[in-house]
Amino acid sequence: MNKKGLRQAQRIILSRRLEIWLTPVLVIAPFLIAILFLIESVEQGVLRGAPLYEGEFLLGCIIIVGTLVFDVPFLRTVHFRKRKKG
Amino acid sequence: MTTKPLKERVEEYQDELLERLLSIEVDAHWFRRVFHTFASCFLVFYLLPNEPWINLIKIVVPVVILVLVGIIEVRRLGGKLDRQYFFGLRLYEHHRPAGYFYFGVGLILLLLAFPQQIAIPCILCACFVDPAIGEFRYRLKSRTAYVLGFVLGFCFFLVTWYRSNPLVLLVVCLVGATGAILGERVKSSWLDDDLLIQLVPALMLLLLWLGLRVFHLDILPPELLHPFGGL
Repeated sequence: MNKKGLRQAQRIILSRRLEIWLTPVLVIAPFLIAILFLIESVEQGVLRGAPLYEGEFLLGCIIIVGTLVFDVPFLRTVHFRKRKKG
Repeated sequence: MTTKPLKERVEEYQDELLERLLSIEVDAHWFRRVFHTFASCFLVFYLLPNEPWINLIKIVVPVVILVLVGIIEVRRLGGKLDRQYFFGLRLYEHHRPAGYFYFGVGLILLLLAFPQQIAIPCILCACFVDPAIGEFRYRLKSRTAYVLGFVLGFCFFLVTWYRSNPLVLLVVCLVGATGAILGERVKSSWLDDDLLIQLVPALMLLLLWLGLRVFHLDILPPELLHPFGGL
């Protein structure tokens, strides 16, 4: 197979490996949502003084802690396969 | 000293990048766990404003997503979609709908058909208690794993129902956490625990709530999450 063909084949393989594309989304999205909960809690509850905004705060904290507990070991298992020499 | 032309250098860089990306290895076991925790993102549903057109979107979008996932599953089970695309699929899921489909069904049922006071802790159980029990089972005895899962589930119900009176709070936490563990323990070839861990506690609490309403007792606390823009 020539270089161009090999590159095309590699691109097809990469497009099929959805886990590589999904990993950043799976890891980052829960944190963004948790931060949104915390911002809403601070903005409405603290800055505007509206009561009943502890729920957003509690859920934001639960999502951050829960996600961290599973993300850290997951990210530690993600690695680059060693290349064959020669 | 000669320098390579720009096009050649860009191609070399692309090849290098492609090779690096292809050499990434992801652990299927932890990938499944992180898929569970990712579902906690869907709680953002309750932050969306209560405008008529947004309320319509809140119903249409989840249903469309579920239908699309259903079509993908039908194509996979019919052999029209390569299994290669489904990383982390368990062996027993090769000939039946995959866990993520059941998870989606449970999640959408909870979001659309249950009050948020019941739905939120049940979703949290599916997101965190289910993978936690799985990890505890790896490291501890099965019974200890379920006890710890029960305690974790109990805490989630405690956090989401803390505005109830203490007796109601205790009963709801016990019923909810028991339901979650029952849902997780049931092993069926056609009903996945990802669905049951959400629906069993939700149905038990729904029955409790509706049953007590017959006696003019409303145990549901105020809503935990509020739409954007303030109360």
